[in-house]
Amino acid sequence: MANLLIREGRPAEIMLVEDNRGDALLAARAFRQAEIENNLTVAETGEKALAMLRREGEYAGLGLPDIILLDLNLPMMSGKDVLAEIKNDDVLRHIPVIILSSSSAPPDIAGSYGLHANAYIVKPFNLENFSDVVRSIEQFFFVLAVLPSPE
Amino acid sequence: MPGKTLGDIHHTTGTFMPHGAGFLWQPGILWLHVLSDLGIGLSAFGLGWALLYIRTKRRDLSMRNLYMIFAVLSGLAGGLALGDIWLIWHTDYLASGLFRLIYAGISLWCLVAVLLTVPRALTQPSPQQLSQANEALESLYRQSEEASRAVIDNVLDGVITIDEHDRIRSFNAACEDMFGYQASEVIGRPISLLMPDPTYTEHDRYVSEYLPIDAGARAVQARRKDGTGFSADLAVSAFEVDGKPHYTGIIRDITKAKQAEVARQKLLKRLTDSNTELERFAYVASHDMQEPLRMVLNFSQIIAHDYADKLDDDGREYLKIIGDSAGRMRDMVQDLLEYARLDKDSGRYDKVDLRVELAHVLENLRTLTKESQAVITYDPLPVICGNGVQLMRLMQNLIANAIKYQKPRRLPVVHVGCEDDGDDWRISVRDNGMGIEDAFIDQIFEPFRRLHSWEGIQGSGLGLSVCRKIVESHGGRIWAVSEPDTGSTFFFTIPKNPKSE
Repeated sequence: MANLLIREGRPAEIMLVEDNRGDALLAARAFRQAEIENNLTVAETGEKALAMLRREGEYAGLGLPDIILLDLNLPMMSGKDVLAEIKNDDVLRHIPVIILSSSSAPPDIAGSYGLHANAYIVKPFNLENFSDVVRSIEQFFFVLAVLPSPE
Repeated sequence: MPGKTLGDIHHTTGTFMPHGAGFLWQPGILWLHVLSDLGIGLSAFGLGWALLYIRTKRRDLSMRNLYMIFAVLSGLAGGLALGDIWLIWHTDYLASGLFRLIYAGISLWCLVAVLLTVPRALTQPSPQQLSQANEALESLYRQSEEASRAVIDNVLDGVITIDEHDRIRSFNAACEDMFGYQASEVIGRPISLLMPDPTYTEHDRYVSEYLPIDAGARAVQARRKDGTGFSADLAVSAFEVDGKPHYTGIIRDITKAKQAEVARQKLLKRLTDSNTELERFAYVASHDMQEPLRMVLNFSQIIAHDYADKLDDDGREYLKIIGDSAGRMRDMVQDLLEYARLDKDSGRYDKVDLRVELAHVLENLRTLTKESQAVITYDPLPVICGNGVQLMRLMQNLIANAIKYQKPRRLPVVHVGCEDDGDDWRISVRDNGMGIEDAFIDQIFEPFRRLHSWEGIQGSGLGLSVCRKIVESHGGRIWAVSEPDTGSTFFFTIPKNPKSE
């Protein structure tokens, strides 16, 4: 839990785009128990997520996250729209986007990879499995994989 | 020569006397003979001539030889009568005898000829008989013509005859109704009147190619008197009248049939739509229900995990009930989702080796098998055509049931059998479990029909419904036989050669 990002010597920055407070709490709980120190920022809508990523207005002082966890089922702008915006944005497209969805429908999965999602994970039903998922994300993206440095 | 004596006569003729001498040359008797013979002779000649004349003119008469025979005999009789007149004054008895000899010969010959024709003459129908027969034939012909006219006029199909110039020759009552023309308006007019041009040219070609009679009906466009068109089935057959081709067309207005077909298609589409809608609804509902369910499940787990020490025993039990119920509902929703998905996945058939699928099933059920110490045996299984994932699911559900529905403290023994049943394979899953009461055996395939409390044996209530849907989408049947306390056998059939989709 006290480990810093190996390369950067700082906590990992994680953005979660999720309108369901329950899911956000579950994710927050799981990341609190993670091995690597992290800051979780939750955006409740796709619009807010994009404003934060583009540092518009009140979000001008924010930095870019190391990874984005994106729910597909969002009010107003859909998760796929947010994904497309990110991947079409020169400044944002390098950030790994992991889709976290309760849908296991093939069109959702194929559609997300088609829009250059970096991974697609079906939200697990079980609490234990949810923790496993978070641990796996952490292990893969923060320990195993080498991510581009911000800016 | 009146007044001659016998001596005169003897003198005059030498040896013989003419017949006139026998009449003593009395003018009364003599002329009586002469005139009578003359009458006989002339009328006999006339009769002969008349018979010959009839015979020449009426070549259709039967037994014309008889006419010839009687003409010849009449002629000879006439000659004989005239010869007798000659003999009154002359004594050419030799010539007369020879002539009679010839007459006798010919008469004999005629007799033979007539006798030979007797059997034929007896069987020859009289003109009255002939005319009666003729009337009978005519009446028969009229009847049959009336009958066929009645059929043609009352038949619901239109019947049109056209000649080799495509001119309408007959037009029945059904045609009048169908086209709005009276027969008198169209007889003699070209068939193009009744068929709009595109079909007419097709008809032209049809006729010119002289298709076989059994060519069957074709769909054509026809035109009514008021100019409106309609769809019709047309069957054409050809026949000849005096060596010239004629065609009979049997035409049926299929507008109603087409409308019915359109209505049927619409209904079918509505049914399919509503079915699709229902499946989509089930899919969406079960999919979207997962989201809140996941929350209930996860947060009851979080409370149990993080706050257990702050609850008393009652609180922990209530929490467990919440968690268990949410888990049950999750199973049901997931099975419902799978049930709704079955239709989406069906139709993609490959070769499926059931032995391989059974191996997957046994692997998937390893935990259950181990815990229950079940013994599973199986016959050699065939390679069939179907959806591998579904068929695996089918066998897995049946085998899992066979293990789960067991009396306490009895080891499950399950056998997967396979029999050749003609066009089908009949696969069975037999267990030694608790069995099913007869009263329920037909209900077990209904969705959410459960015969046991959830606490007793867990299940979503959809397992056998999924099985039935899989079997039926593969063109097979599923059923069960059972004896309570002894065990059940579930059978399903899979066609060896499925209808390609």
